[in-house]
Parts: sequence; C-alpha cells; structure tokens
Amino acid sequence: MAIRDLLAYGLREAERLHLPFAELRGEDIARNSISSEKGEIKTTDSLQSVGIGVRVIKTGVSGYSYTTQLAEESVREAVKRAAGIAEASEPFAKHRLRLQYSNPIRAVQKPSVRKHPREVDFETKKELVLRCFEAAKEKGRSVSTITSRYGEAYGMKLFANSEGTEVQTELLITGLGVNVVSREADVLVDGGEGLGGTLGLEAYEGEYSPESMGERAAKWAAEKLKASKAPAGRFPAVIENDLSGVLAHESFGHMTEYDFVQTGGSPLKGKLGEQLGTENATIIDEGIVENPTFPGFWLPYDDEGTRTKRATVLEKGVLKRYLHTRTTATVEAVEPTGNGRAVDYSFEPICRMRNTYFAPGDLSLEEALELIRDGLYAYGTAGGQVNFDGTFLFKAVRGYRVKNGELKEPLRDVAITGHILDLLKNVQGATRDFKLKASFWGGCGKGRQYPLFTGLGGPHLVLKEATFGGEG
Amino acid sequence: MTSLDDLISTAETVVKKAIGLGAEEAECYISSQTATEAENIGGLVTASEGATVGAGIRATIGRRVGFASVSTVENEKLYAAAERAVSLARVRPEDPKFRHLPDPVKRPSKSGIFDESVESLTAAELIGASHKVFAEARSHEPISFVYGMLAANAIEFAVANSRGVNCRDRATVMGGYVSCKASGANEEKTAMDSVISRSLVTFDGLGESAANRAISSLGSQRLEPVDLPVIFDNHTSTLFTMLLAYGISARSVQEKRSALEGRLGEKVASSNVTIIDDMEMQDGIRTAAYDDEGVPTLRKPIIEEGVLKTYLYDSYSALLEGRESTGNGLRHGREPYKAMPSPSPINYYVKPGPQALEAIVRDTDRAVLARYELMGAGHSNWLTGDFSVVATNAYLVENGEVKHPLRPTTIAGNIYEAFRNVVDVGSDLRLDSQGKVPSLKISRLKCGTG
Repeated sequence: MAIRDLLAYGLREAERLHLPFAELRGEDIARNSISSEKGEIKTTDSLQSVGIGVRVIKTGVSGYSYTTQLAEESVREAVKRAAGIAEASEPFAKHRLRLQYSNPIRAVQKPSVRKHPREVDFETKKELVLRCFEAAKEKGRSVSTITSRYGEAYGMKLFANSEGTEVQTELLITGLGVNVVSREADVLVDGGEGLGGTLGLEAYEGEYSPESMGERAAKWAAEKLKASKAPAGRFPAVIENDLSGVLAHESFGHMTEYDFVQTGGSPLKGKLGEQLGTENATIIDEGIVENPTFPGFWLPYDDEGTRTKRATVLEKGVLKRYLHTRTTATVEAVEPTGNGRAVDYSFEPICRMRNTYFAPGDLSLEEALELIRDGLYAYGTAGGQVNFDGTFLFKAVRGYRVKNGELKEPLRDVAITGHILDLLKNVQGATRDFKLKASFWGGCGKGRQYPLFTGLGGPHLVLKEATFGGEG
Repeated sequence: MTSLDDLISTAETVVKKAIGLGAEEAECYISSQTATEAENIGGLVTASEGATVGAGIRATIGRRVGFASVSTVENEKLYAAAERAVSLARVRPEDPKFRHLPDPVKRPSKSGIFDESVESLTAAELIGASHKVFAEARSHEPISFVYGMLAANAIEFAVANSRGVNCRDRATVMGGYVSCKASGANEEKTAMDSVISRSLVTFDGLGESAANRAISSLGSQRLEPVDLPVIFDNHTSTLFTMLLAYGISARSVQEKRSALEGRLGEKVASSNVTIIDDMEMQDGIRTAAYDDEGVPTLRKPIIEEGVLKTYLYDSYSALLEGRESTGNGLRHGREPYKAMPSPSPINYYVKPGPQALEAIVRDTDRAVLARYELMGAGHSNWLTGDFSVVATNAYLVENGEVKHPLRPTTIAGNIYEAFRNVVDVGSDLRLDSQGKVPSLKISRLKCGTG
C-alpha cells in the first residue's frame, strides 16, 4: 500500500481512538555508496529505508511507535502502541506538552540540482571514486593506502498530522571523499579531502573534481610526513572552516537546543540577552543556506511539518534565542524555529540543529594570520567529543605553526580542548570565505539518534588564545 | 515478532529469487527486532516501542559480489532488494580476494541467554524505571542535570545461503546509561554509569552511582605535563580492547593495516595479559551459536600470557587463506541487516589478576587513575595504535591513596606499547558490550591537564 494512503489511514485510526493529536511520518529513501581501497572497488552498498513512525499526544504526554511493514494492520498496531505509551507516561509527566494549534500547511518541495544522482548510472559514480584514487596515487609520496568513496541518499519524506498539514519533501545528499595514508619508516600519516551536501553530481567538477581532491589529499599526507607533533599549551590560533563549524555545532549549538535548556542540561539557561562572546562571534542555524557551492543539508521543513526559519542564536556575542521544536516552543511561548528532527522513522522528532555556522566576517586569511602573528593554524576536523558541562575536545586533521603572520612548518596530532564559553570570549574575528558541508557518512548524534544529516562549516575564526592538547 | 521459522523460510525464498535472477551464489540475512526505549533528558522522558524487520542480501557472479539491504520484508521491496544485489554483482568490478560464500560448518556451539521477561518488558515499565533513576540521581543536591537512556531489545536472526547454510538464533539485551552533571563552586563535572545484560535488570542504584561519581569528581586540580603510570578502571580499560579489535582482524592484517601483522606466536603483551574470544560466556552480549553469516562460533585465546595466538576471521578473510572461518563474521550497527559481515571479536574475556582496583591503588606511589569515561577514544589512530584521550573523571594517586580529582586530563600513548607495559591486571571483571574486562595499570603514559 502507498505510504501516503497509510498515513491517512493512521490519522483515521487515531481519530477513531479519540486521540486529540497525531502525526505520522513516512519515508522511502535509497542510500547507496561505493568505496575503493588501493584502487579496487571494495564495497557497493545499497539500502532502501522504508518505514512509518507515529506520534500521538494525549493529555499533554507523547507516545511514539513505528513499523517497517507497509500494511494497514501494522500502522494500526503502531498507533495503538503509541497511544499506550502516552497513557503509561501520563502519571509521571512533569512537563505537559501544549501544542499551539498550527494552521494546516500543504506543501510539496524538492531541491533543484542539475545532475540528480537518480539520473546518473553506477558506472559514472564508480569512476568518480576511482578517479580520486588515480589522482592521489599520481601526486602522493610514500603512499601506503588510498581509500575513496561516494555516497548518495535520496527519496521521499512524507508528513501528515491531525491538524490537516501534509508535507512531502525530497531528501537529497551526495558526498565524495578521498583519504591518503603515507608512510615513511614508522611515521604513518594521512590526508583527506571531501565535499558533501544537497548537491547534484555537477558539484564534483572543478575545485571539487576527483582530480583536485585526490591531489590535495595526497599533498597534505606528504606534507604531514615531515610534520612535527603539535605543541601543547595555550596559543593564539586561526582555525579553518570545518573546525569552526564543529565548534559552532558541537560546543555551542547543542547548548541552545531548548530541551537541554529547559531541563538544566545547558549552561545557557537564563542567559538570553547576555553577552557571552566577543562582538565578532555570531552563530546561525538555518534550514536552507543560499550558497550554490556549499548548500549544506537542504531542509525546507522539519519532521514536525514546520517550515524552517533562520535562527541567529548568538548575535555579536549576545545570546538571542534558543532552538525549538513545536513542543518546546510552547514552554517559552515563542514560535517554533523548525528544529524538530528525527534520524529516521524509528525516532520521535527532538530538538536538533540544521546547518550551523559562525557568520563570516570581513578578514582575508592573510589578515587573520597577521592578527595572531605567532601561534597555531588548525585545519579540518577528525572528530571529537563534548560533555554536558561545556568541555570539549576536537582533533584537527593537521595544522601549521604561524610565525610573523605566515604559515610555517606543518604539524600533526593537533587537538583543541577547552570550554566553549571561554572560547567565545576569545573570538577576535572571522574571515570572508565560507564553506559549509554535510556528510553522507557522518552527522550529528544526540542521545540515541545518530547520524542526522546536518550542515557544518563557516569561515575561518581568529582566536586570541586556545588550549591545544595533543601529546600531554 | 515474526517466528524464527518464518524468517528462515523467507531468507530461503530470497536466496532462490536471487539465483533465479542470475546470481551464482546468494545469501540472505534477516533480523527481526523489537526495541523498547525510554530516554530521559533532565526529567523529560520520551519513550518508544517499535518493530523492525530487515534483510541484507549478498549475490555473487564470479568474483563480483553485490550487496543490498532493505528495512522491510514486504515481498515487493524484498525482491527489489534481491534485484539490486544481483544487478550490483553484474556491474561492479571483480574482487580478486573473494572466493565464495561460506559452506555449512558442523561444530558444537552455544546460544546465549534469551530472557522472555526482557522480550515482554513494556514501555510503561521502562518509563517507570527511568523516572526512578532520575529521582535517585537528582536527590543529591549538587546534581544539576541528569541524562538517561534505558532500553530492552529482543532480536532474532536467520541466515540462509545457496551453499546450504541455514541457521538462526536469538538474543535479548537490556541496558541503561545515566550521565549526571554536578555543579560545584567554580566548576561543573559530569560522570556516567551504565549496565548491560542479556537478562532483566532493575537499574536500582544506577542513578545513585552516577551521581556519586560526578560529585566525587568536583574539586579538581591541575597536573603539569608528566610521564606517569596510569590506572584504567574497568570502564576506561575498554580503550585497549576496542583498539585491539582492529589490529587482530584478519582483514586488517591481510590489507596491511594492522600493527600486529606478522606477529603471530610473538610476545605482543606483558605475560600477565591473557585475552580470550569467548562465546561460551552465556551472559556475553554478542554470544550466539552462529555468527552473522551462519558459521558456528568458537572459543579461542587471542593473546595467551602475552603471546599473540590468532587473528579473527570471517569467511571472506578465511577462504582467502584457504582456512576455516573462526566464526567472527559480525554485522555491526543498530540494525545489523544493513551491514556486510566483517571480522570482530564476539566477547572478550580478559583473564583477571589477583587484586581489586583498591589494592592496585594501595600499591601505587604516584599515578593517574582514569575512571568511568574517556573522551576521544574513537579518534585514535587505528593503524598505529596511537591514542590521545581526555579522562573526564581522573584522579591523582599518591602514596597508595586517591589524593584529589584532576581537571580533564589528557592521556597519550600507544596501545601496543601499553599492552607490553601492563603491570597490573585487576580482579574486577565488568561486563560491557565488548565482553568482560578488568582494570589495567600501565607503567608509563604521557599525562597532563589543560
């Protein structure tokens, strides 16, 4: 049975059970990927993700259930289970959900790209992966392994609720990346480059063609062979686009998610209007980024059927607002910002970010380096971790020493640690250049919901001082 | 939940379908699971209860292997997935290392615990438990925030292939994780506790324990960069077993990505280190009679008194060397049908030493004690074993006593070097998703706070 009809059926079931509010989400999404290692195609994955999720709200308490069987009886069962959970939760509920009635929306939207991956054959995508390898092999030094990969997800997401809202959007994300491992004696290093987001395959031409990316990854790995380990301690720093994005998202963004604020999980509770950072620190979270090269993840509606809006959470250092779902917005009596998102049909939407970044400034990279004169330049991100208390640790993929405003010798094992609120007070400026990427493979994790497609990036940031960890 | 017999017959039907579509060999793995979960963000509980059934299909033509998966076993979508697997096998290049799908293997093996009371646990019970854990933790005045996640899962799987493999097993797993934030005069500290089991757990005391851990981390002091012995408790010592899994994978070795390549029969760890891959452990989280490609599992030492005894094989890596799989072909992730098998330990059993953690501390002049949680373990260098982690709940040990908590402490070194420098193995085995692992004391690592 068609998903759209099953959603309508589920809403009728909810009405039959006298549930005051119900919403159903359906998805039918293809996720395909191709990876290579040492020039051989290694994996070719193809997943069709199909399922339906149901959320009901009864006496201000929600219940959630889901099924992957596209049949009326499975949907009926899921509606019943969701209602049962809402009832079971009722005696414990401290916070009641009071959804403000929302005017019904009817919308069908899809992103516009030139070469949609659906229209491109397997052979071409395989070639993208192998061309990355060829370029990296040709330009590399003491190469031990080259891996490259292409991934795509596309398909329909449907939403319907008992208020009459019906939204159908097309999800699209593609990604291409290459990683080079070089080895000399017992020095083993890597260099990687990639691009991803709501992009057609025309994106993988020019600066982000397999040839350009393969060459850069190989060059960076070769450069790291001679790199020394990063020093530990406090230094002035310039951090590159990917890493500034991770800081905006992981360290600050999560603290503005209202479920954390409401329950004491965020140190930002009660701080609206406070100056938390310097004038140079502005952080934005939004669903649609108007940048053809770096659109991040295109998200016109969230998973509660709310149109996404731009949320400037930090403006010139001042905390302006929190991120909201429909349910959290009622607590603060504000408009929902369109941040109610779920990883897939098996999860209830919770407060999540979309595309999060520091607003660009007016510096060139040269001016940024000149501002710090002597210090460190940290490039890229190899992941990291944040705790509820605001402490974080992020690994950069590589770095450079900065002397007299110029990039000098390369560094490896660069890790930046600290507390986000200290870091915001150290933001001295941001550059004009802007890069925002979303990854097919990774994404944001919150509680059990991982990985969610999110856009990360921004400008270069200049920090008066930052703590570098590395080798203790 | 679908019955086990239904899963097998569905898997067999899909295998025939794929052969009919032109595959020379085919395999279908189906997992069916029910998951009941309650997540608690500072007292806000969201719960869900749902069912997923999905299939992963391997189809081969010569040395070309196609893999496709689908999150439903609705016939139309399932057959479409079989078609995708076959068409991928047609277009993808040959894999010179692929031999064939596994043959049926006969050897004795055991299922782990299946606890009906976990399978029948309701969301209402988990929601109640979640609120109790929260209240327990919040009853301590310095605790300002609690995050918790409780879950109960029942999973059944079946795997059939065209060479005659045809088997199934099932498991129950229940567990919980609680993280507490304690607010002190000038600092905030978080700490966690967790429990995981094949059987019913009550979660009693979990909130209390996480709260006490966070509170005992308050009042932290700096530590200048210095080389010191480090005592990892039975939570943080999993750093070593986690990274070891990469090095002992036969695929890592064959692809020259393992620091343990060519080291079989050699001393790779101190003599007090014995690590067994033990699927006779009935309560082990990944214990099953068969691995995820239908090969019976097998108990074997990985490191015995410091000597490397074996790598771990799935059928792909084993057939390449003309040997039998060690029954370590596992599919990872929340929904295992989405992944192809790869060699992984089933359950580690690290042979315990004579002393409890307290006694190890008593015998220590000066060391860092890293408890409960490490940040950044997953971002270690898997190839070389180099790691640089931050211990969020570290303490300074002096003259046999825990002197005071430390600020978030960076600990850096190399796991293979650390295995050779294990000076004490605790008696305090703790079950986690990897197996049973005790506290470990390493003679020297780089330590320091920011």
